[in-house]
Parts: sequence; C-alpha cells; structure tokens
Amino acid sequence: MTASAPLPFVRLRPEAPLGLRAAACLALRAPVVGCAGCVSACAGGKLTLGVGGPALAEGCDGCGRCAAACPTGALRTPGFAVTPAPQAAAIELECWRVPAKASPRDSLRLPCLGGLSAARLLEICADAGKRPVRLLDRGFCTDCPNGGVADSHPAAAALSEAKRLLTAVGIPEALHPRLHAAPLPAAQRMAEPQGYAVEQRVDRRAFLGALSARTLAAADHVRPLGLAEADTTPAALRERALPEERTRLLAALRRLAPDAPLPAALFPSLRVGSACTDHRICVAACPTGALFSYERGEEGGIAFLAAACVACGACARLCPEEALTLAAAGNNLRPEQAQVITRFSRRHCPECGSEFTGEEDTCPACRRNHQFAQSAFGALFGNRSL
Amino acid sequence: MAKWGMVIDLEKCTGCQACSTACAMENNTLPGESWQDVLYYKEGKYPNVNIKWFPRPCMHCENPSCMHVCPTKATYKDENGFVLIDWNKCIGCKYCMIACPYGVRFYTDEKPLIEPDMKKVYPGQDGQQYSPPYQNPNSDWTKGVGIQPKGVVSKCTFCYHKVSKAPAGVADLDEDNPALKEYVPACVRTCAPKARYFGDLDNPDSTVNRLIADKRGVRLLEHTGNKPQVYYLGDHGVVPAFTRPDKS
Repeated sequence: MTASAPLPFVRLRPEAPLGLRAAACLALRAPVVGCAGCVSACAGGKLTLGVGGPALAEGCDGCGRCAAACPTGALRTPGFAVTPAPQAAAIELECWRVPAKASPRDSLRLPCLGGLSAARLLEICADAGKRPVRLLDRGFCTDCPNGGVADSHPAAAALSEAKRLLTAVGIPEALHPRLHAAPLPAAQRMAEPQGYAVEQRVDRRAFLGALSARTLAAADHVRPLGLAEADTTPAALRERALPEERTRLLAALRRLAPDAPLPAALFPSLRVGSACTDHRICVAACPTGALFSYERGEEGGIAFLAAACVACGACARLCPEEALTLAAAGNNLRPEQAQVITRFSRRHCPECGSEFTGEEDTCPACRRNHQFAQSAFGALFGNRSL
Repeated sequence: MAKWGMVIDLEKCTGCQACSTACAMENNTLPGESWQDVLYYKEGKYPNVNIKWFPRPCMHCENPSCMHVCPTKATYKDENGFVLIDWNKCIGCKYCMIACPYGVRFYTDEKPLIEPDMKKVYPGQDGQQYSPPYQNPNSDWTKGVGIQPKGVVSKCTFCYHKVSKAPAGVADLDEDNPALKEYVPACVRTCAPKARYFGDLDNPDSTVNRLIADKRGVRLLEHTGNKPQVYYLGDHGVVPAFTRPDKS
C-alpha cells in the first residue's frame, strides 16, 4: 500500500469550496453501511446523498462541518490549515463572519468553528504548546445564515471529544481548549464571509505563516502507519485511503503526550469467530486498509491494524458467514501494530489447480460446478439410469 | 424493451466447445475465464462410465443473487434483461462469486494455471488487465464489455455489444437471417448443431417462447428463486453407457 500518494479531491460544484474524494467515501464504497455523517452534519441542508454519492445544492459556503464529520476524510474544505502565530500569547479561534477589525490580533480565522474536528483541535493544541486555546463564541451562532445550532455552539461536540481524549492522556484541564464567550451585537455579523481572496490575503506574516503551514502539512501528510504490503490494485474505487483525520488525531495526541499510552477508547477491536472460511470479502470492503491480506508461504489470512480502523462496520456487515464482531472501542493490544487475526493453510485444487482453503478434496468452485451439472441433469433427466 | 433469453437444446448439443471458443475470441477472455463453458464430468465406474457435459453461460437471472449481494451495486440488471457489471464500481470482493449458484463469474488476477501467463506476454495497456494484439473494438467498462481492468470480476454479457444494437421489436435473433446475424451472440451464432436459440422472452411469438412451451423448457436450480433467462430442453444429450456385449 502506498500511503504517501494522496488521492485527488474533486469539487462537488465548480463554485463551491467543497471537494470529494470518491475512493474514500463510505456511501460509495459500501452503501450497505448506510453512512450519512456528512448529510446530517450539513447545517444548511445543502448536502444530500444520491446514487452517485454526496451531492451538493447551490449555496454551500464551505463551513466544513461535513468534512469534520466524515470518518474517512473523503470531504475537504479549504481554510482550516492554519498555524498559530508564534508570538501570540493565547490561541484564539475566530469565525470568518466576524469582521476582521473586531477580532483580536493574531487570532486564527476559520470559515466556521463548527468545521473543526477533534483531530484539528488537538493539532492546534499541540501547536499551541502551553498557551491557552480559546474558541471565541460571539453569541450569534444560533441564527447564523449558515445554519445555526439551537441550544449549543457548533463546535461543542468536537470540543467535548477533544477534552475527553486530552483527559485520557493526562493533559491538565487548564490546557484544554475551551469556548470563550465574547458576545458581539448580531448586527456586526457579516451576511457573507469575505471569502478566500480576502481571508487568505498575503501579507508578509501570512505568507511566511502559510509557508510554514505548508511545510508542516507536507511533513504531516498522512503519516504511514507501518502497514504491511497489502494486495491493492490501482483503480479509483479500489484504492484504500488511510483515514487522514484519524492519523492526524493520533499524531497530535502523540505530540501532546509522548509517553502516555493512547486511550483504548480510540481503537476498535475486531474478533473473528470460527465461522470464517477465508473469503476475504472484509479485506476488499475495508475502506481504510485496516484489514489486509497476508501470505506467508503455505499460510495466509487476514491481519488487522486497529489504528487505521474507523469502525465503519463494512467488514462485519458484509461477511457472508457473519463471522466478524466489531466493537467500536476497547482495543488495547498495541493498536499501532497489525495483529494477525486469521490463519489458514492453503492448498492447490487437484482439478483446477487454484489455491483454496478448506478440508475438502477440491476447491469450492470445482465442487459447485460438479454439483451444478449433476443437479441440472437430475432436473432434466430424472434419476434414469442410462 | 425486450427480455432477452436463451434456449439450449441438450438433445442437439454435442459438447464440441465451439461456443466456448467463439466466446473467448469475441470477448478476449483470459485462459481460465470461461464466460461460456461446457462442463464435462464422468459418472460411474469403469466399465460403466458415462461422460456427461453441460453447456453453461451466465443465466442472466430475473432475480440475480449476485446483484443482491454486491456491496457497491456494481452488478445490475439492465432494462433489457442483461445482468451486467460496472467495472468502474467493482471492488473485486468476489461476494458475487460466492453467491452465484451457477458459478459463472470469474476473477483472473491470481497466478494463472496455464503457462505462459497471457498477462505477461501481452502486458496490459490503458488500464486493461492484458492487451492481446487482436481486440474486439467494443469496450464499455460500465457494462463489463471488453477487457477488464485489474481486480474486478467478469462474466458473460450475453454479447451486450451485439445484442443491444439489434433493431427494436425483433422477436428472435436468428443466425440464419442475414439481416440479423451480426446481432446474434457469438456462442449462438457459432453453434454447429444449432442447439442454441436467442430471442425475446417477452414476445409471445418468439421461437424461444414456442420452444419453451412445446418442448417443456426448464430453468435450472429453480429452488434458488433466481429465475434464469436461459432455458434447457431435451431428454438425451449424453453418450450412452458402455455395456459389455456378453452381459447384454
């Protein structure tokens, strides 16, 4: 598996700042799983799920909530790759709808605070070091034209997830990111954000900041997780996408607490029952490459890398023998090392010569051919002896 | 709109494998990928042995189990009765190969059983699994027509590239009709003893319907509920068992 070559994002609409990477989209790869995280995250109701995957109506302004909700990193909006200014005393995150004049100096301006995922928040915390991280709550998110949230802040869910993880690795509460109420009159809210041209205007500081951000992003881009060479073949829908979001989350946690063991709650566990007959449909269905085939001489089977698993459930759902049980959390068996979970010895079929698993004399395909031809004769000619 | 179907008369079938050869040439299939095959097997013990054979294309079922299990909906039922694979969507999980009760789906990415490996002799270009010097010019990956890319399952298309061009409303595609012979599937057109018939099962006047009614055509493995669109006729079709003269 080549983890270094990122797959291309394609804009869902030419004018909208939202890109889709079809190869990673669960709704396209495995519709049976019924993933619709992006659709329910879209506050404006612009995103719908059709036969061809996510479809976007007119009027998306790139708040990034769908991208934050996507478990496999199949969606992306620009504007979130910002790095804190080195001289800032506190890291303050600000929405693009707040006029630039009203926001504090050196604040990190983002399209929408709701577009921050837990991974992105943890990255900002890791960049901040010992400085406090504050999300400025201007008090007008409730009726935001972008789709408000009635009773809480749009970033609340990601914030509580980030806090939970930070607590789990033993970061003191004082260093957790928090919402900071700094109300502004609703009249000050801009109906339209100024957009990329203005927000990402290049002054000297922004230029250098952007350069350093790009260097960081290049260095950080989907860190390979030590995956073994898996059998993948190049075609849009067959390529595995390492869950970038997840990789970044783990990397940020490691930066924040290099010595603490990563919380077991982050890693799904997968158990294989005795019903497994080595069809390996789970391997083909896995969107992230967390499940992969290995061959070791006469032996072969599947291995599982919990760190790459997003617990989408495609493997368990598609297994024809119902042999797999997936638990969303609770794997503490060295999650960053692949575990061999099945081991089968493979033999060659004496009739057709192909490799197969099982105790029978011939391979399943030959057995089926034989049974089929015999039963067909039974149907056509009865049990007449000739 | 038609519902294309095939009738195979086992009384006429001689097991000559001309259909399998024609299919392989028409569709550029790799060795081991027998979209159309004649299954041979023997029954009994020497000296009372029967050699039996059974021609087997894809049944293009009305209710295909391969389609229902496909996780990416790559296999689909066309409005004219074809069961086709969209190679752009197929992820090669081979669930359909497990689900198909007739065993007519193929995956040829493994090391082949016949040397030399055609995939190495004619290395694939334009994403194809292999590129032989002669290729059928028809190729449509959304219909599973042509030479497949790597990592997908392939199957008989009922020669979609020919049949879909037939004039609308034709009851039968008869290889003896000069106006229609170009639209006849390769296996039907080549069948020397004329054991195969191809026509519209929705058209009450078609030869296939008449044969099914007159000769009591049967569909195979009816208990699976797949309802094939390939019917079989006949009562003989086997080599008579050898009987020792002194015992008769």
